[in-house]
Amino acid sequence: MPKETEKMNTEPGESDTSTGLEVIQTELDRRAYYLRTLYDVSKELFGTVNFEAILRNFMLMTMGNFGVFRCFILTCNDSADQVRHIVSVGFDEDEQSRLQQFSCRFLEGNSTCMVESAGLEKLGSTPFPPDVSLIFPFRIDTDQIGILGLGPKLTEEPFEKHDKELLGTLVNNLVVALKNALSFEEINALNEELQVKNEELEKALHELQAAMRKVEILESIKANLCKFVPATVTRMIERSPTSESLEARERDLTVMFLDIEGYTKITEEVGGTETNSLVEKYFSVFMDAIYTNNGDVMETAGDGLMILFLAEDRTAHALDAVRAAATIREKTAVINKESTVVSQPLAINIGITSGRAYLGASRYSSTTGSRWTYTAHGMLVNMAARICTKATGGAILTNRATAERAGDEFRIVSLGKSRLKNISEEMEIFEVKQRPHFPL
Amino acid sequence: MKKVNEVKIDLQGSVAVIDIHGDITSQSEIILRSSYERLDSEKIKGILLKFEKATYFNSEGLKVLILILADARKRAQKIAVTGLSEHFKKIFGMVGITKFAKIYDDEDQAIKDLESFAGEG
Repeated sequence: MPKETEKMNTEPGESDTSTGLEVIQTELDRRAYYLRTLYDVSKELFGTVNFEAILRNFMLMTMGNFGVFRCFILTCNDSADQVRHIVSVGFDEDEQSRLQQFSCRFLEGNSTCMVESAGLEKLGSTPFPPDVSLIFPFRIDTDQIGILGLGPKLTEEPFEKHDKELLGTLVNNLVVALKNALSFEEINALNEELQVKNEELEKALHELQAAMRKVEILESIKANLCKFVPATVTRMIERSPTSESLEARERDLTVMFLDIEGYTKITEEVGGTETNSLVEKYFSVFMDAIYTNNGDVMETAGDGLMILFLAEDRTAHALDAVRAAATIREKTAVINKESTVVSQPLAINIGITSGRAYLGASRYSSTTGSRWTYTAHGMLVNMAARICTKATGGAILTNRATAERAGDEFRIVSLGKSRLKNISEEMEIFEVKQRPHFPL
Repeated sequence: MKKVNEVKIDLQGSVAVIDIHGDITSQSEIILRSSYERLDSEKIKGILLKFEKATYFNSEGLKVLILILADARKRAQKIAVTGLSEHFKKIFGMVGITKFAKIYDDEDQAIKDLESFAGEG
């Protein structure tokens, strides 16, 4: 360039050419400076996501770029009645309050055009702060608008068309940067919210895990307790954890008593330990017969069991009981054949009665606490126990009700009336005979 | 890569020569402003801002100078500048800085003029 300038300076009309080149050079310098400004401003604006810092950086760079002593930027809500941010240089406190009033008034009018000081006078009665030459409103988003005000240039020249074009481009960059900052704030807020939710979720998860551990412990306790609690009671408590369903009520049911004939003699013969394993062996087999036929062992006492059959249908529970009793008798015969522990075959005597009795929980309170049992009470139960004591040699004895209800499937014969201990009236007793098809 | 600013202040009577190395950007604000604030405004009436030839000024750097010019006006101090490249001489002119700070090529001449101004005050 300098060489060309030198060469051109030697040509005729050199003064005009030189002036023209200087103008071109100045214009080139100005454009290069503007380009550089755009680059610098973009770099500064997008180097942070802090809304206020973006406004301040932009304001200061604009001051440097256009050479002004005074500048401000204000943002407010869409209806221009709530100022959100204001940054300014060169205005004292009184002027700042006037800046806010004027800016809000200006933005209320939905002005969207750049206005120079001459045009400001037409805007109404609000006195405008002195030494402001240019106003540039802008919209950030649907909820927020803003205004940029510039004081006079140090050069004392007016803002030229190219200044306004550059300012428009810079403000567009500002808006993009502010939008980014708002998005970032929103993302941060969402992240914080998510973090709070995650913490709550984690806390809930820990509580759930703790609860699960408690449930596991309770399940384990339940599993252990169930070994000692009748299945009927377990089912009833599971269905209704409150004690209502356990209250004693009169209903139709079948009671079976079962005991080993000559238990005391056997104990003497083989000893306590051997007797216990013998009882376990026989009774384990009986349990299958009982539970298969919907019975439930309510009480055990040494050589005896008390079993209830509680099907809804009165014939069904009587039949269940007789079927279970017949199976027990048949299985006893099989075990007797295989067993060599005792000298005589074991006889299981069974008494069965069907009819109405009280069924439910009974509570026995004492000074040391209370104990609950779930069982059947009443004459029907006493009669079953007494009939059982009448049975010998593995007989299955029943009352009339059981015999009538199970008579279609089993051969049941009357043994006539008999007097039972502590029962005033004589009672007719029936015997269930061997099932003909059972191979002995 | 931006150069880190280094500032040296040399007091010559009522004239302060602030020798500045490195590009003038937003990063320069603190060191330039604090260097200027450190000067005794009663005693110092002329300030020479001495830059390197290759110094680059961005918009924010120019803003820092403009703010110093504004303060100097209030304190009735005169500011002169040396060491500018031709490009930035033009930029200073375009921005209007030259209205408030005279640009010199000759440092001695600048100091002499500032001393003369201080003497008048």
